[in-house]
Amino acid sequence: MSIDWILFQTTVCEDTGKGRWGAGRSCWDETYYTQDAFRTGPTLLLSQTSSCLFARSKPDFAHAPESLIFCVAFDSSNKAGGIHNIRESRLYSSENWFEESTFVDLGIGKKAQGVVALGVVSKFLVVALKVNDGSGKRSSARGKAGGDPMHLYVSTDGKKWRLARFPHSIMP
Amino acid sequence: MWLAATSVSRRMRSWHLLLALTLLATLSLAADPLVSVTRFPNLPSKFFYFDDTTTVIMHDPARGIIQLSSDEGANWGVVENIPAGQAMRLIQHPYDNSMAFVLGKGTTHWVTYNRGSSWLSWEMERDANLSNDAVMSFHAENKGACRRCLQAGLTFAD
Repeated sequence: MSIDWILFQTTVCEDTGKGRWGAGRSCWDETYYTQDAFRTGPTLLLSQTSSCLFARSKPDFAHAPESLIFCVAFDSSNKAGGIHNIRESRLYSSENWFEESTFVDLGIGKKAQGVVALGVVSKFLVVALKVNDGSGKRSSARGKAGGDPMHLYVSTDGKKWRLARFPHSIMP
Repeated sequence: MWLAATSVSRRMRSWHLLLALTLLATLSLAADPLVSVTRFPNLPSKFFYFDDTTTVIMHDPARGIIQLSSDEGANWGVVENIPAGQAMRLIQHPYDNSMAFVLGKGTTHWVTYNRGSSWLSWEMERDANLSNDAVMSFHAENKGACRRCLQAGLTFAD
């Protein structure tokens, strides 16, 4: 019963040994899952995550496949631990508990980086993206793109994504 | 359209409330409603009914305990299975009114499948990320959702 499917966010910390700056400690998150509401031990879903959720985490999001999961995670090729830049966080999806996963490019390809938030609101899947202008420099808050440092992407099926456009009247 | 529907239902609800109050007033002539007071040393961090039951549960974060009442708050008891000082978070299953979870300080956590009557512990390999509001995320699959999909003429891929 999928009512017993639960994702669980954990934190791991590791001592990185003593260096010239003193003893170090690095922490990262791992997401676990259970298919029987913890009657048996949970299994590791994905490491280096900041959040994971079922597409069907709200009753209104009924179009999505039952086992579809979205995770905001850091590139798994990076070594465990260490401090990640939020600009490197990406959105991934899987329908088989992350045995295989897909990079969700939000329709903008490699630029789909800097995912800071993920959620289901009513029948919409929403993703907040911290915009990176590609120059490597920190883009000023009111620089290009109409001075909007954050973008919101919206989907009703978890496959097709649209950039949400806000009327100017509500911009700060 | 939606706004209109909401305001109508709200008006109806207040009308029902009025009716209920009138009934209550009539009944209270016969018997006064029962009030019982229990004093707690700390404010709860979480406090909820298991939906459609008379069972109330709350979490005392200062003492790290879970308290339970099966009679709408008249009598309270401490959940004995969970050692004092261990209960860090109390989480309600949003789609199952008999399940709740208590997250412990370390890698041991507790779950109830029967509205708090009994608690089972489970072990994790790692500590829970207690600073994350969404430390647990749930699946909303239920009969209500399916009925709504069928009404909308939608079919599931699986």
